[in-house]
Amino acid sequence: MNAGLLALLLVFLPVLMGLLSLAARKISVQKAVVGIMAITMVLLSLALFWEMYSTGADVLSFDADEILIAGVGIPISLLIAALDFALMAYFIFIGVQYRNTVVIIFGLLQLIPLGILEAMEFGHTVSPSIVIDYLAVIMALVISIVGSIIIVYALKYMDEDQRQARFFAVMTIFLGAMNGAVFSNNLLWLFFFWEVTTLCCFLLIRHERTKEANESALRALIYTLGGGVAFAFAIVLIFTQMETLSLEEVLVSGGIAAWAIAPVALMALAAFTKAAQVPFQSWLLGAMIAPTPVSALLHSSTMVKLGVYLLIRISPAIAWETSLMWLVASVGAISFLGTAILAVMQTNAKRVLAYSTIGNLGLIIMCVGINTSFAISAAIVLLIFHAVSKALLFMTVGVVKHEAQTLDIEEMENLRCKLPFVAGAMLIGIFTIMLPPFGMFAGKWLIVEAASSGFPIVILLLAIGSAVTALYYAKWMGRIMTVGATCDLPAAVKSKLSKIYKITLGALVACAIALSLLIFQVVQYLVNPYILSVFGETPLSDFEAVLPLIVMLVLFGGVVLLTMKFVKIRPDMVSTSYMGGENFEYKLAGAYYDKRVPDAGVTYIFNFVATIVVVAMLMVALLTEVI
Amino acid sequence: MDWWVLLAIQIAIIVLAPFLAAILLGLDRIITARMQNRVGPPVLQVLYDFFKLIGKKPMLLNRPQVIFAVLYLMFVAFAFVLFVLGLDLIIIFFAAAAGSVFLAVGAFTVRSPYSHMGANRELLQIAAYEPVFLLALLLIGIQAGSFNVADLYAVGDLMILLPLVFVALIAVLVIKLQKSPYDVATAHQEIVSGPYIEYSGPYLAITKLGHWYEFALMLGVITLFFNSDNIVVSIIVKIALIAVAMLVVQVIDNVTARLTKERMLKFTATFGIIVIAANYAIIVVLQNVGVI
Amino acid sequence: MSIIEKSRLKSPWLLHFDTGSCNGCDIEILACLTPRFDIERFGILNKGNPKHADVLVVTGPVSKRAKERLKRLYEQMPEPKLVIAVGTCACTGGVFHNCYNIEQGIDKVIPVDVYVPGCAAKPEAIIDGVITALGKLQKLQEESHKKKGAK
Repeated sequence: MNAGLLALLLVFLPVLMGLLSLAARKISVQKAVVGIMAITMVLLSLALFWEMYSTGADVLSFDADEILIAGVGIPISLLIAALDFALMAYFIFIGVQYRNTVVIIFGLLQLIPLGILEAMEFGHTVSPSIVIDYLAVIMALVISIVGSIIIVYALKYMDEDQRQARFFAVMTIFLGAMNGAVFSNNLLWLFFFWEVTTLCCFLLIRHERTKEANESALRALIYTLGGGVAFAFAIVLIFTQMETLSLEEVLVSGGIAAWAIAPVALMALAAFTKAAQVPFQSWLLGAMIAPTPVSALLHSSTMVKLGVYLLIRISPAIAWETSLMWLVASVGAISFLGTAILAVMQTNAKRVLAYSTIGNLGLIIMCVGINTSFAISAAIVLLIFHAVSKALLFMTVGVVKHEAQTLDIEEMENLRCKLPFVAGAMLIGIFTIMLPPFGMFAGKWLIVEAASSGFPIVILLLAIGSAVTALYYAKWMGRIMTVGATCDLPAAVKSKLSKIYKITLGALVACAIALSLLIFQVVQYLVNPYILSVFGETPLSDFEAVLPLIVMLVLFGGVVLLTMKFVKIRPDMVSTSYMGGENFEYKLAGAYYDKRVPDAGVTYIFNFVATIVVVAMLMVALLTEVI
Repeated sequence: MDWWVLLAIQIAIIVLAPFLAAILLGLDRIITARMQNRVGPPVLQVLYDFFKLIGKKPMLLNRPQVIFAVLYLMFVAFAFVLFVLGLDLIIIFFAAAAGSVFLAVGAFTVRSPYSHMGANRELLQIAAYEPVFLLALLLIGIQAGSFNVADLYAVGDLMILLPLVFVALIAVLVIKLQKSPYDVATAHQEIVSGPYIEYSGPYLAITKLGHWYEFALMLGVITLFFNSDNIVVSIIVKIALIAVAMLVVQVIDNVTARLTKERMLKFTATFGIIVIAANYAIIVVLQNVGVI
Repeated sequence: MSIIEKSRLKSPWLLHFDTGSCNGCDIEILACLTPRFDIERFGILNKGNPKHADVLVVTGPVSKRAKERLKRLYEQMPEPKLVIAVGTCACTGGVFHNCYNIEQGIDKVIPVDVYVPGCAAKPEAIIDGVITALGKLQKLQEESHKKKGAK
């Protein structure tokens, strides 16, 4: 099949299916529609990869300003422009509805430059409007596969929800918008899809319509709309200076045009808000209020990933200005360290995961700042593995919330007994995110190597941050593994798990393990083609470099399986734990890392430093032009 | 050298190193005893302890406890194997770090207050020494221009250029060897050997073996600091470096009392990192001046 | 003698438990650990933990409250293990003999290998007790070898 058609299908199919499920009255029909969509999305994205692979091309470009459907030409550009204005109007409407001046102002600030731009560029066409390279394919795979699995999981999770139809419609449209943003080469299209994801995010966080949900949703809207304003101004600057709206052309221009750095800095700013980097992290923490599948989606395959995608995409432009590289890397490093320290003190699983997402995205952004071929490879590897592991972790946390009515890590003791399958999946999620030999670690190892090419402060923050990250994940892991006396009793309650949960969790576990085992192939067939097209070299092309990782994985699996098999436990071997000769049930002191350092204080410090860095970034963009 | 001679030497090092480390720990106990005006145990005492533990009846609380102990041993040993094979220092570091994390998780698997407290403290220890250790290794790698251990052994002047990194590594060694003032995890008078408390007999022996590998790895890193073309000089100076490091650790152990975990974090976060940063700054300055 | 059996004799780790002693014997046990007596010569280490210990050194006449704790600690020690009753109270109940709240010595609760009498037992006597216990262990090991040989 034609790759362009596949790309269009990946964008429009979820949107259409979402609308269809909204129109369907019966819940069973909606579920069927969503389920079919999920499977089709997975197949389509795989087909797209196969199409790319079999043609052997690094980049496939298409013009899609007008598509012929049944002989009628549909002007996509015009359609998107119209929808864009509608979207802005809707944002302003939300601002009015909630009496929030900031939203109205941000809405207007986007509407006005956009209107001017549309007037100026009327008739200007971007060719090609769709560019599919390996970065886009990777993103499409992540969005379509991980996103679809989450949506299927949500079918069960949202079973008893009142507003299911809207929920699933927004979720699927979200995926479509993400795919759209990834394939767009026309900056205006990219902007449109960018804003659609903002809207979807807002609607999903607001889903439960409680006061808290409304507030969190509005906060998310304000932060991401602010980023959108930066993006809009960046586009205006680009068009006035370079007379083009093609992202590809901007990136190959080499930054020689006047005012070339400013739009790059503005886009980086937009990406920071989207990726919830410090100091913009508070919206993502508030987003916890949404149902767990939403969190899973926001944190793994959509929304925040769009931010880092944009940064990776414009990474050649960031390299135009050395100080810009430094500042971008610093924002990532500060986010990584700050959130790691904050996460240690949390006991709410979702909050820990939220901080860890920000931290991991910080790692990716650090890579973009470092900007060597090694670092960008690391960034993409991290992006892939983070999506899978984080989705898995959120989904398991969701199941625990449903089955054990708790989100508190300290109460996850005995999970290994009560929900062995979920506990296993959760463990694999944590392993894959923090420990060697799994993929996330591989990314971290790459970044350490990359960072050693001359970013001392970044290395420092990275070194402290990774040690602290290990601390809070190990703590969690230990808590799941802890088993009380009741576990071994025959009466131990084992909850029955729904099939959908088992299938979706199992699928992600399989993904995580397969990706870890095939890390070299992932790098070779997905990451390297993109790196080659950008840098003209591939730093990771010999298998020997990753061989120790594979050996470690085998070692790990071997130890676990062999110990399971050969350590036989006879009843006379089982002992009791030592408590000075006493024997009673007690509550284990959970909050060992108590909040001697208040959250707000740490947040304040890191926000302060990060704000300075972000302001410095914008100043640099201005000053390079003035001087 | 023929490849099979090299392989034989490597295998011999991998197998014998933990036992040499154990004998070194025995020496350590004797010297400590002498510092306290005692005779002290035999040199092979640590090995006696080990074989005694192997011969005890296995007792456990649950199976994951054993799995994580074995994982700890395997990962630390694997890190050491990579070191002997001369591979990437960063991977070695991460493998060993994963081993330490497994030890803490193993301590978490049992429902025992001392064990949990020990595990939490162990994690804090990891958080305290790991950044310093990683930075030290990175600086060694940057200075030598390669992270492969095999290449590092071909660089001669690390001790001259990185004396402060050596000092920082001694601080790491104090924590890793569970010595005062920063033996917060095992603190035997307070939390009766912390993470190890619920391991007994052969399973305790497994963790001991892991500990020896960890120790051997640290000593291996110390031997990176001096290399000479003359193999005799090289070996003598390496042994001298190890002796100096161990002696300093012992003196510190014997003249200090245990400090709190907060003090440990503050110490490594300030002293350890500042020392390494200072060394880096000196190198950068010297390079700019043109001395090196 | 295998290396493991030899090692057993060279590395006895102690666990000290007080079942209601007047603390006289406990102070002597602690005196044992001082540099003056240097019990580390024999590979002896004081481990406050039954899971690591080979020798249980008990003082006191075993009060009714302490009985369960003593049993539990003994059970938590992995085999092979030795028990040394230190002090007259630990051997027979001593001055507390026939008290309503006393079990009359350690051997009423758990099997004892060596009795170290004295009120309080001297450190030299305690060290001798440990060495005697090791001698007993050696004898047992040799006997089991002989039995195996006979079979």
